[in-house]
Amino acid sequence: MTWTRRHLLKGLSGSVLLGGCGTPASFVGSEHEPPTTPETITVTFPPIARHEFGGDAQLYMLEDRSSPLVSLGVCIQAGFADDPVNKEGLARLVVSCMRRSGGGHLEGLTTLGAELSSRLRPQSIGLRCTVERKYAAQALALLVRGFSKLDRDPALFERERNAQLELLGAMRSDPRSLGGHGIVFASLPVAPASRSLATGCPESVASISHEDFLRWVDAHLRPSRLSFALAGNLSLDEAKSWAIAAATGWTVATRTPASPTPPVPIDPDRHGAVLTPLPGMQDVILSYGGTEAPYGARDRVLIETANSFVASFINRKLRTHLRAAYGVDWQAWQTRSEIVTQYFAPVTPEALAPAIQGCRRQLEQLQDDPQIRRRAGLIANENRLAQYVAQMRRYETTSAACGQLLNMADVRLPVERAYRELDQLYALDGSKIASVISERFAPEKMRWSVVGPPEAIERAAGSFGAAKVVRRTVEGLVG
Amino acid sequence: MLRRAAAWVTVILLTLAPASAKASELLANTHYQLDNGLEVVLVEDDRLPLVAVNLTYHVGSAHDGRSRGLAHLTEHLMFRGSRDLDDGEYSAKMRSAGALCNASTHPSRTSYHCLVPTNQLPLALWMESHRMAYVLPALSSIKVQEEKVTTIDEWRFRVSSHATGDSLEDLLTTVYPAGHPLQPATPAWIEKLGLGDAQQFISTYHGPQNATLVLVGDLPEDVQRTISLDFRRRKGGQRPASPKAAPPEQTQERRVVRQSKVATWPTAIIHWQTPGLFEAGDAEADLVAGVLENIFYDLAERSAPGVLMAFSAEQQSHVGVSSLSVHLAGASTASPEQLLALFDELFDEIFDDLSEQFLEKERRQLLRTNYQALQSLGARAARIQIYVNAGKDPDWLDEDLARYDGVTLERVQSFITTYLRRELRTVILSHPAERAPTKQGAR
Repeated sequence: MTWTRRHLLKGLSGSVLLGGCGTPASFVGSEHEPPTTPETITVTFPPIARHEFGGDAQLYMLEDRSSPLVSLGVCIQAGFADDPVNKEGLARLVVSCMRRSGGGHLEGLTTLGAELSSRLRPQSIGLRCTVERKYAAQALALLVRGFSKLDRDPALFERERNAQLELLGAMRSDPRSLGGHGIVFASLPVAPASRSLATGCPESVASISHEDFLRWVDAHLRPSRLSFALAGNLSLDEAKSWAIAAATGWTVATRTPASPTPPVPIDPDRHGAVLTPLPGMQDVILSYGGTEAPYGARDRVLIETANSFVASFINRKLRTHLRAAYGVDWQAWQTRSEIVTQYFAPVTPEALAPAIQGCRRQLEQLQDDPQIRRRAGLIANENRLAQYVAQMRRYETTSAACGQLLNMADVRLPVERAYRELDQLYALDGSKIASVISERFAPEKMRWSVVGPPEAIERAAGSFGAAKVVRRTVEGLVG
Repeated sequence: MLRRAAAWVTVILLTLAPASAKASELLANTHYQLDNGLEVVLVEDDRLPLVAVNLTYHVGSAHDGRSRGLAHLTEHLMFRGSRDLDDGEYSAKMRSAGALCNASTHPSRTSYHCLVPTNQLPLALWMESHRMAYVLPALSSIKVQEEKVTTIDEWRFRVSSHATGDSLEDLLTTVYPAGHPLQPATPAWIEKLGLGDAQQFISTYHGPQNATLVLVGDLPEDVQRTISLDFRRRKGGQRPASPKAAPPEQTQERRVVRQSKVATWPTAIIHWQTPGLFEAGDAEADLVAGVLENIFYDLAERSAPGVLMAFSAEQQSHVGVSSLSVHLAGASTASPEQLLALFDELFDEIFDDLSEQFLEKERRQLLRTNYQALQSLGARAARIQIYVNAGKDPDWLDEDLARYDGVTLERVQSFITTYLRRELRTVILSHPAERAPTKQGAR
């Protein structure tokens, strides 16, 4: 299979050069000046194959013979959006049991030298591993067994439910998690905030019975909902035959699912800031929030670029101007409806009020800046090549490629749209980014979350201007 | 393209006979030295039009001596401009060229690494060689002061934004006391550093005779010429003596019992010093950590259901001195002493009953983990630097992996009785923070 090469121009959108672009990389800079290198880049992508088995079952596959490994992913179209009303956290319990199950798949995978990883999304559950090619067919069958032979033992269910309750308890004293829950609470009218996340809240998890668990498993785990994502040292014919063999013999019970918890959309006029005291902390976790577009969404690249543009401004304010923090870190919180993003930095209690006011001023200036389109355009251009490189790195290893294929399988993305984000990168320009910033990051629309020592929290309360400020205990956020 | 035919041979070998192909084909390289002493390793892989550039100076935090934090501070200063580049210009130009750049300070080496599009490689090489030659004229007391603040902030980020950050810090300060090569650089140490320290460190160690340049990826034909033209500017550089920790003089377990300020769950950390990277016993340490990581949680769940919530075992190998540590997090109803007792009980059970079959499973995992890691260009460059820094050949991968084949059950037992004795360990037991219950109805 041939990898495709596209030659792209760093600068303005829509410029595709048809080969022979750039100069040979032979130019050496002078004693005082660095060399001028081409404004172009060659972007290489592997060919992706898709096969439909009938029903909803799909196969996405990428052949890469450069290493002796195959990365295998299996996902099923059922996720935490299918959690029944007041039983939030149930799908996560199912995944926990898959990771601990005595069904034989775990021990088998370990024997083959593989390490199981899992992921849970609103619409899907995925299991993944990487093995040497000679074990790949066997490992794929074991992954499917993780779904088909899920351990129904009530004792395992009980243990994992208790572990989930302990995890929720631990979140009550984890500053970063609390900061994220604060942003989710400021965004969605759901209380406690954890109820809108995959973990559920202590009340909902405690109310899940073994019968609820079995009903969910029987209603949602079935071979017709399977998708396969295989990347590495294999052919399409091998991938098809391994997938068919892996799913053969899976018998299912027929049960009706319970009504799912309806997703709650983000409320743009909800709280401006959520303040959460956490005794014992020395520093404060200052977070602000936004939203991210899901994989495959039309404006995903544009929104991500606007998010990172604002994050870089706030980072510069906190780190360089105020010297209040080492830098801004980032975490995504997938709710039942949307992905809420948390940008956060630890700051000292003394620096908290100036940091909040400084960031707010920065955002106001950004809104009023007549040059914002030009500046956003410049930054888009400066980062465009790096983003092309980041796109290529998604296929640098079989494991990363398998993750990409699972993303595609989740949304049933047609293969021809696999590289759409590359086209979106072409089309980025300053005015589009500026309009997203105006729409999403106006100071009155920003959501903040502050977690820290009680006295520092109180001092910060007056720093948010006209924004609606609420105080929330750790139990109020996590349950 | 450089050695294109050889690269294809590698690909074909891996495709047709992956089990029998030598793993070191992944690191097949051209290895030479410039007149000024700079060691160069080139690995061709044209699958993607990218090149991983890794320039490593063979000096790191273990060489800080009484200037704790100096190697790390210097790493930051290397991004703050040079004779012909303004402050911030390095990062801006590289980002604009599509390069993803960073640096990392390890105990025995400091690496500056980036991934660049092939046609931007001349820029990356010029920038790297230029700051090797001309960073000193751009240094100033203000920049040193600013980067001291930044490195202290990094320390704070590690310690204060995690619920258990303070217990990890307690571990480091207990295990690595004053004079130990791995003694942590706390803010108090960093505050003492000055411009003169940084200047002295850079002029002594950041020269070509103490550096290795590794490129992995789609290399242009004239890459060797570009390297020799760019990197001829700087001469000198001195290799520091290998950091070597004194053998543990412990005769009894060191134990710290503390109360967490924030975390509401108990934790136990158990730590041992183990032989240095690639020394006798280092492979055994990797396998022991792997065995624990794979089976401890399940055994604990069977032995004492609901007590253990999370478990990890980690072997960190460095030139001269390494460590094996396990981290246990318990349910809110458990105590750290209970976690330690559980560990002691199951540790003996696991290694008394260990079978050759289980060791074979671990070897297979290690082989797969190595192949998987080395798919990435940057990881391959970093691995070569680890080998070179430890005095091995750049393609030492086969020998590296063969170490695990030689580990027998007897050698595992011998390793445990020599290095993992209870009197040689350090234990940090953290009781949960006491938290007043929230008032009824308060949300």
